[in-house]
Amino acid sequence: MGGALVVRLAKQQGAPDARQIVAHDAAVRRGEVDPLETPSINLYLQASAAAEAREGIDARLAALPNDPYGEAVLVEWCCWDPAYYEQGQAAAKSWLIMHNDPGFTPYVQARADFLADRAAHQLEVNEAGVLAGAFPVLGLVAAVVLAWACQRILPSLTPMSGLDSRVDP
Amino acid sequence: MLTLFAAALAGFAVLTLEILGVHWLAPWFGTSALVWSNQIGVVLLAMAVGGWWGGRVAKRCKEPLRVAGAALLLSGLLVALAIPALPAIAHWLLPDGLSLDEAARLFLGGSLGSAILLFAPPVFLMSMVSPLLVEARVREREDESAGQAAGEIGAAGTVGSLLGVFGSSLVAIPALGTRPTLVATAVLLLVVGLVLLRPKPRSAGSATAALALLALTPSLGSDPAREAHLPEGSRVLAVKETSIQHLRVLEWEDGQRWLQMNEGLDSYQSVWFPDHRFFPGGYYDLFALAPIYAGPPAGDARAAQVWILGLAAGTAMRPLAAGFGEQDWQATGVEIDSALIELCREWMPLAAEDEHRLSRISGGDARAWLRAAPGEMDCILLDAYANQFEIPLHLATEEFFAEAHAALRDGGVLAINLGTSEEPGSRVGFVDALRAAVGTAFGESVRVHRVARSRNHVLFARKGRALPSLGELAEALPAGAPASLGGALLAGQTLEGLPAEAPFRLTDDRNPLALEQARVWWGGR
Repeated sequence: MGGALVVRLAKQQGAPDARQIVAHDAAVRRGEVDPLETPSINLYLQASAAAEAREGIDARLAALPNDPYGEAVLVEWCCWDPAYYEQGQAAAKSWLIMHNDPGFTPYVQARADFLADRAAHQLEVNEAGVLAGAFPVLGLVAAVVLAWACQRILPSLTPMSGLDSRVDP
Repeated sequence: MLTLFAAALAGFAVLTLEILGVHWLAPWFGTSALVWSNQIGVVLLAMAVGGWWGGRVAKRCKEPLRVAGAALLLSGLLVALAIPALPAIAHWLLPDGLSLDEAARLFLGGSLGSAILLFAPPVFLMSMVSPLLVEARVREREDESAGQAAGEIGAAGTVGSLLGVFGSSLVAIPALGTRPTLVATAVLLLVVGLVLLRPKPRSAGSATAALALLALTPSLGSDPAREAHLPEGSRVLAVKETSIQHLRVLEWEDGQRWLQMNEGLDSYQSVWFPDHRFFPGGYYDLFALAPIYAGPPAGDARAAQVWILGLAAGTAMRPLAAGFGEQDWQATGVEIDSALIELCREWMPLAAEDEHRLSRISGGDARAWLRAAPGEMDCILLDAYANQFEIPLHLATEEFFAEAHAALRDGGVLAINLGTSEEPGSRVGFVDALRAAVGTAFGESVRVHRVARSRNHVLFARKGRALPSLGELAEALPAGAPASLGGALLAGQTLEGLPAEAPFRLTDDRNPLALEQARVWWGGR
C-alpha cells in the first residue's frame, strides 16, 4: 500500500529527473531555497517517489521491509547533510500531517503499522543475536555429549573386540 | 590393503566434510573468511582430539580393525544426520525477513556453532581410525614396526585427503552438488565401516547402518538450499552449485530477476529487468557516471575501452550504455566463476546490443587478468565485493589500485562498488580506509557517492586529472536519468578527496579488512 501511495504522489505532482534534483539542491546550498520549507521537501519527496515510480516496483517494495513514511525520511537522508537529518525527519513528518489530503491518512497509518512491525522484528533479531552468540557454546556441549555417546556405543557395536578390557601385551 | 584403503577413506572423508561443510553452510551463513576459519579450526580441533582418543582406544582393544569399522559406521550415521539438520538449525537461528545488516552478526555464531555440532563429532570419529589402523597393522604383521605402520597409514590417509580436497571442490560439487556428495560420502563411510566391522545380521552394527540409511532418506528429497532465505514475493527460477559458490536466480512478479549468491537474503549480485536502461534506486545506475567522469579519449576516434571486474550477469552494461550515449565503446568482463556466466546467459540474457559490445573472460582472477591487460583503458569497474562483507582482500590493497592506475589511460576512471553497513567516517571506517588506499595511487582525485536506500557506496577515482564537479556531472547526465541518481550527486551524499586520516592501511602484506568487518558484525550497525 505504501509503495502505491508513493507512486500516486509522484504521478499527481510530477516526477523530477536527476538534473532537476541537482539544480534544486544547488539552489538550497546557495541559500536561495530553504531546505526545510514545504515546497522543497515536496520536491525531494517527489524525487524519492520517482525512484520507485515504475510499474512493478511495488511488488518488490511490498516484499521487502519497507517504510512508506521512511520514503520521506530517506529523502532527508538522501538529500541533505547529516547535520540536517533530524530536522529533515521532523519537517517531513510535519509535511505529511499538514497535508490535508485524506489520501495520506493510510500513508501515515501504514507508517505506524510499519514501525510496530519493525519493532517486533527488531526484538526477534535481538533474541536471535543472543541465541547465535550462545550457539557455539551450546554446539560444543552437544558435540561433546555426542562424541561421548559414540564412545559408549562403540563397545556395543564391537562386543568381541575387548574394548572394555586392556590387552595383555 | 584394506587397512590402507580405510585410512585413505578416513582422510578423504575428513577433507570432504571440511570443504563440503562450508558449501553446505553457504546458502544460510555465507562463505566469508571467518566462516572458513571457523570450519577449518573446528575440523582441526576434532582431528586432534580424535587422534588422541583413537590412540587410547587402540591400546586397550583386542580388535582395533573392527573398532575402526565401528567408528567409520558411526561417523557415516552422523554425516547422514547432519545433512538435514543444518537447514533446521538455520531456520531456528535466523528469523524470517532478515536483512544482510541484521543477519551479519548472526552468521559468525551460527556458522561456528553449526560447524561444532554437525561436523566435529563425525570428524572426531574419523580421526580415531588412523591410530586404530596402525595398531591393527602392527598386530597383524609381526615383521612391521610401529613407525613403518604409522608411516604407511599416514601416507594413505594423506593421499585420501588429497583426493578429498580436489575431488570434492573440482569434481563432486560441480558434477553432483554438495548434498548428493555428502550423501555419497556417508554411504561410503557406512559401506567401508560395515566391511571392517563385519556385524551379524541382527546386531547393533546392522541396526546402526539401517538407521543411517533411514536418516539419509530425507536428503534424497528436494533441496532445502533452493528456498533458503527466499524473499517474499519472489520465486526461484534456477539454482546452481559451482566449485566457488551457491547461485540462485529469483524472479519477481514484475518480471525483474535477481542473481543471488550464497546467503543472499535481501541482496543481489546482478539484477535483470528487460528493456530498462536504469534500475532506479540501485547502485548500478551510478556506473552511468563512469564514462562521464572519464570523458572521451583525447584526439582519437577509437572506441572507449571498459573493463568490468566481477561481471556476473553484466548488469553494468545497461547504465554504461546510457552513460556513453552516442560514443563508441567496448567492454571486457572478467568473472571468476565460469559456471555463473552460463547460468546468467540462460536466465538473464543481455540485450543484443550489449552482447555485441561485450567480451567475456571467465575462470580467472580479476587481478591477474588486469595485470595482463593491454592498458590504456578508459574505465575499470570493480564490482567483486560479494554480499557487502566478503571482500577479496587482494582486490582492496594499495598495490592493486596501483595496478589499476597503471592500466588506465590519462584521465581514465576506476569505479568501485563498496557494500558496507557503516556510515561514512564511523566506527571501523572501511570506506575511509579504501579511499585512502585508492588515494595512494590516484591522489586527491577520489570521490565516493552514497547510494540512497542501500548499503552501497560507489567510489570513483580518476588518473592524472581533476574530477568533474557535481554540477558538471549533473549537466552531462543522460536525459531520463532517474531522480535517485540525482540524489547520489548531491553534496550531502558524497565524500570528496581523501580522509584526513586512514583508520588502517590496506596492503598486500597486511590487510585487516576481514577482522575489521567482523568487528562491524559484532557491533551491529
